[in-house]
Order: sequence, then C-alpha cells, then structure tokens
Amino acid sequence: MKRRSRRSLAAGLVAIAVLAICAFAVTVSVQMLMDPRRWDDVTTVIGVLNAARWGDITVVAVAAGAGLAGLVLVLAAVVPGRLVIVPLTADTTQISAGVGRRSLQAALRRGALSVDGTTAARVKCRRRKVVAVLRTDRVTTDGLGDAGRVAIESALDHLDLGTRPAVSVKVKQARRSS
Amino acid sequence: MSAANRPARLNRTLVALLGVVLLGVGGVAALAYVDRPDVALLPPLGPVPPWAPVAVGAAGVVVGLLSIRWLLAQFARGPKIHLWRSVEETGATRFTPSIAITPFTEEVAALPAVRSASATLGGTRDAPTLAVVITAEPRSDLREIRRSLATETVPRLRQALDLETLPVTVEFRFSTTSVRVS
Repeated sequence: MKRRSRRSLAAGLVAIAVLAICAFAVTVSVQMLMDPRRWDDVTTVIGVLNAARWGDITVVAVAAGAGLAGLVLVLAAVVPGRLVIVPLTADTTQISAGVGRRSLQAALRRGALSVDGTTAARVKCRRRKVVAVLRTDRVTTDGLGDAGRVAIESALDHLDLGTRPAVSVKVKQARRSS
Repeated sequence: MSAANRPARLNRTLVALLGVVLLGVGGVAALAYVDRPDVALLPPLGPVPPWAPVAVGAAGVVVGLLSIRWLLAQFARGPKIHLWRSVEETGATRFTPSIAITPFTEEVAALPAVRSASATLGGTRDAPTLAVVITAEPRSDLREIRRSLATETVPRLRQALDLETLPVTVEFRFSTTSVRVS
C-alpha cells in the first residue's frame, strides 16, 4: 500500500476562505434587508466597479493575484507529493502493506545508532536512496562506515520495502579541541 | 488514490476546480487588459433589483454550509463504513462490521512484536476492504508479522465473516517509545 498526502492543509485553507466570503455576503444581504441605508453603500461599490477600466493597474494587480492563487491551487492538487506511506514488497496474498515514512526513517536511524562508536546519526530517506551521516568521537573511523551500512541494511531486511533503496554512509568525526 | 485514503480525492477535485476558476479569472483579465483596456469592469446595469439580497444571501448560506461540510470531511479517515446485512432462515441481521472485527484486532495486537493494532472494516458486504494499522515494537521483523497475518489471522476473519475475498491494507508504524542507545 502506498499513500500520498491528502492535501488537507490546502483544502482546509480554501474551505475557510470560501466560508469567509460566504459569511461576508450573507451579512451584507441581511443588512440590506434590515436597513435601507445599506443600499446606498452597495450602489457606491457598484459605481466604483462601473468607473473602473480593465486597463487600471489595481484591476490588473487583483487579477494577477487571482491567477497566481489559481496556479498554486492547481499545482497543489495535481503534483503527486511525497509518499506518506512507503510500500512494502507485494506478496501473493491480498494483503498490501506499507510503512509510515517517519517510522521508516526512525527505524533506519535506530539501526545506524546501534553501531558501536556512533554518537549521533542523521538519516535521509528517498525513494531509491538512503543517505546516513554518522558522527563519532573515535580517533580512527576505520570500518565504522561499513558497520553502519550493515546495520542499516539489516534494518531494511526487517522492513522489506517494495523498492529497496541503495545505502550510502558518511562518517564525520566530532571536532576535537587540540 | 483509493477510497481508503479519504478525503484525498475530494480535496484534490475541489482544490483543482477552484484553482482552474481563479486561473480563468486571471486569464480573462489579462486578455481584457491587452485587448480592450478602456472598457468598464462592470457595465451599468441599472438599480439593484429588490430580490438580489435574498438571492445572494441564500446562495451564501448554501455554499457556506457546503464549505463547513468540506472542512468536517477532513476528519473522516479510512474506508467508509456501511451497515452489513446477513440473511438466514430465521431472519435477517443488520450490523456494523466493526463489531465483527474486535476479536481480529485483539488477535493482531497479541501477535509477537506488535504493540497495538486497530482495524476498520469498510465497504459493503459485496466489496469489503479491511484497513489495519499496526504499531510494532522497534526493531521488529515486519516480515514475521505479515506472515502471521496472511496465514492465520486474516483467513480466520474471512472465515468468520463468510467472505470469499477480503482485500487488506496494512499500515505499519513503530512505537515511539525511545530506546536506550549505549
């Protein structure tokens, strides 16, 4: 199973914006029905729209803003986005499984940290590549990179991802005061 | 983009629709700017008709309620749950399938290396889908858990519900309890 973002943020913001516009329209309508003086305000606004020309700079600016917002919304809806759930190997049963991206990252990081001599680890997970940066206090870093790679590979074995990423490990020595 | 990932399809459709409308507004304005910059934004239409506030207010209420509905839809997760009906000689029973999967959830939670589990049985009786979320112990072997699911727990549930096929989606998480690293 794989899953991408539900676009809840974009949807929520748009829904709130639409709701605000509707609330404003309803408020003005009710005021017009209750209070005849409101009609004058509305007539003034219509007068402004009658006076405005398509070539006016304000009109152009507002239209450009609308077009830009539209482009952002279309992109937010169309671009697939990052995987929220990374698929595991498909098997013959009717069970399709996936692992949450954060959980995956945490599992690989835990694997890297289990290597003796590692003080900190940063793991970046992409679709085809895992990049891990290990930090160590040791003077000699011989074999640490390989040990880290083995640890991460074994964590990947336990997960059994659908597309197995390549693992690359970098080792950084902590800065020592001399 | 399946029904299991509600409300992704709704969100993408509506956001794209509004985006296209706004893009259209921008495009029309750009055309008008190039082609006829001296034409009025709104031609004079005479006085505002007396029914206009009622119409605008009613439209605003309808669209506003729909947008509240859209906001609330963000909280609905997982496959949609339907009422199931099983007919026997003695009569018909209608039940929410969530009752039927409580033992299944307990069984999954009792598997080794599983810390907790939750499941939703959605869809109709003819097209059911089971969505399982499993929180596993850190460092556990997911292959083992999947094997026990495929060979024991899911077939048992299928048998209990008297279903031929039952597509299952499993989402694994790892328990966030910190592990000591020495």
